[in-house]
Amino acid sequence: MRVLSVLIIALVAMSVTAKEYMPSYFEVTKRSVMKTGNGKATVKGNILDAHSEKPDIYGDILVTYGETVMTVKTSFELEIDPADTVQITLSSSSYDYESLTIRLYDVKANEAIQLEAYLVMYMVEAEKPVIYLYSDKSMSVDVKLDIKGELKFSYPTYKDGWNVTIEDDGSLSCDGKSYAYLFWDASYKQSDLVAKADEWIVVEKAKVTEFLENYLTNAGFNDREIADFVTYWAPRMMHDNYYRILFLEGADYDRAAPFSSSIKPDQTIRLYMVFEGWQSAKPTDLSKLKQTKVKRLDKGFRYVEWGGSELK
Amino acid sequence: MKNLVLLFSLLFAVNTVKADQMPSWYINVDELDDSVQVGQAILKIDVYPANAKVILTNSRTGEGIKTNKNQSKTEGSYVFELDSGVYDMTIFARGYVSVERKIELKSQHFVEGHANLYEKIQERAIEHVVYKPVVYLYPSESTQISLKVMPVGKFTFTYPKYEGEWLVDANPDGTLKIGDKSYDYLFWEGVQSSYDVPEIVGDCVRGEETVNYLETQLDRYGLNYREKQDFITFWAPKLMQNPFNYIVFLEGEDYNKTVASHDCSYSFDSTIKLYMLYQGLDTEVESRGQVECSVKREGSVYVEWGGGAYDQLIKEDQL
Repeated sequence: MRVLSVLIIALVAMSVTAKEYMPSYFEVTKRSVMKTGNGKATVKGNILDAHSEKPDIYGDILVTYGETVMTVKTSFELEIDPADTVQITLSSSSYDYESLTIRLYDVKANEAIQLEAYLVMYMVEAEKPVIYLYSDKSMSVDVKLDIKGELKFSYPTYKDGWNVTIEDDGSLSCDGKSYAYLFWDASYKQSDLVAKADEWIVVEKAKVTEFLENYLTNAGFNDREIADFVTYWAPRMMHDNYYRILFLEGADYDRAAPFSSSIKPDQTIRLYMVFEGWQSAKPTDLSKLKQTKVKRLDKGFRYVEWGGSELK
Repeated sequence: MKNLVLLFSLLFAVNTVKADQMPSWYINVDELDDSVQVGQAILKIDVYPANAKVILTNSRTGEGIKTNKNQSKTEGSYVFELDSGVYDMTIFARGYVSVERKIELKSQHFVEGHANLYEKIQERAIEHVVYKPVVYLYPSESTQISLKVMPVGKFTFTYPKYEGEWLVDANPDGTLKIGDKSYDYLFWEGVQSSYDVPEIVGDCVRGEETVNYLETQLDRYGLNYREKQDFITFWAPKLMQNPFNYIVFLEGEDYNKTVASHDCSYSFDSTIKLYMLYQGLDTEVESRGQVECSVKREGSVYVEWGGGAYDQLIKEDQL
């Protein structure tokens, strides 16, 4: 009696305090060797979302086996050469899922293998978008967001919108209390924020603070907003040698979180930063970076918002 | 016997821990064995190091299988005869990183696995991040102020840049000018190896009660709406992820001794220094209340707040 064996490789990061985390995985449901055939083996796989509440896989999946690459939706079929070890990689073309390396051992000629691959979706935290509202005259305004992700926390509490009065001293009144700004955070699918063709900027660790200051100044932010932004993000951008940064502005920001207000702002400044630690010998030449300089109005109703996400 | 084997492979890359420092767990064999009774299963586990212990808990009944029961052991190898079902398995040894897995034992199956534990990296000096102390200054008249902050640990980030001191033109409305730039606060972040907490008082607060609780406390300590909002929007999203938090406020002199003291050229009427330590908990513990507030906010004001996670507030035996 023959026993197929050898199988699970579990290299799992276990920092002692880390919460339980399930990576993408696969299960072989059937293996059988046919009596006849062309000498190759076949693999049939179903691709599923590991979160049972979302059975449909989102976007295209790239299946890579040796030189073969194919784009599929929910299943694939491959002819492979018999070998001691066969490696097949599944990756999400929209970056929404953690990729999966399938290793099959002891693959025989004319063998038929069926498996199910469970992919885990990356969720991205949209952190600390804050909204500053300015007006030279006291005024009341309703602000609504259409957040594509899942709203997790807001302060003051978002109740299908915020009804805010901008007071003469610049403070915001909402539900009888004073606030300096409106705050929200949410959880997003990565592709809601990042598109494949986006242009990333790679910045050295030591230059991050200065770069952010300059970029935000040009984008129209004032000193106070820049300090809020820099003190929130820069301490988290001091660990890797380089950081890869993507800014979503205007329509790109609106794609993830369109907003509407009962009074149209005379000026709207919105900037969202997506970043991740990076290794690169080629940081972006920042002197060649083209950025339109925004002239900030000092009168009228102004809506200013920033937020960000760290990709993990 | 069918030669169907459950196969799967879990592979993922990790940022900080190297592959050779991770524990690994492989199932070599999972097969139907006619000699095993229906409703039973045999689990054989080889462990490295040989003195590693295995704990199995039946996920459904919670029954624990620890030692000597239905189990034979030779050096570095365990054999368990068990009811079929799902088990929570922990394999551990002193000085090694534990393996924790769920394992399914099917009826009449023989399962053989290998656990390879890796040595813990030399006990690293634990560093506690001192998050976001921010300093707000509200003098009675516009004046230049020199502020020196002496952290118990060390700075990791400052903004605006701290160069032996912060030298600012401060105004009664709280705006601080350095050159042509204006700031609402001075920011620093640091690390220190531990917190020498004078006396553990504090409150256990349910995750969803975080915002209400902090609002009440910060009002009590005299923070204004801007400072309060900065504090709450920074901490609430973190604390709300835990079912409960044990929260301890350190203020005044306790802040000076435990986190950072300061030296300021301007003499403020009131100085409010407030530091929040918290520990996330799965279960509720008794609240003991917070310290009385020693300062009343009036006249010219110095405000500094910060905080950090600290898992030494509630010891395991108190849970």
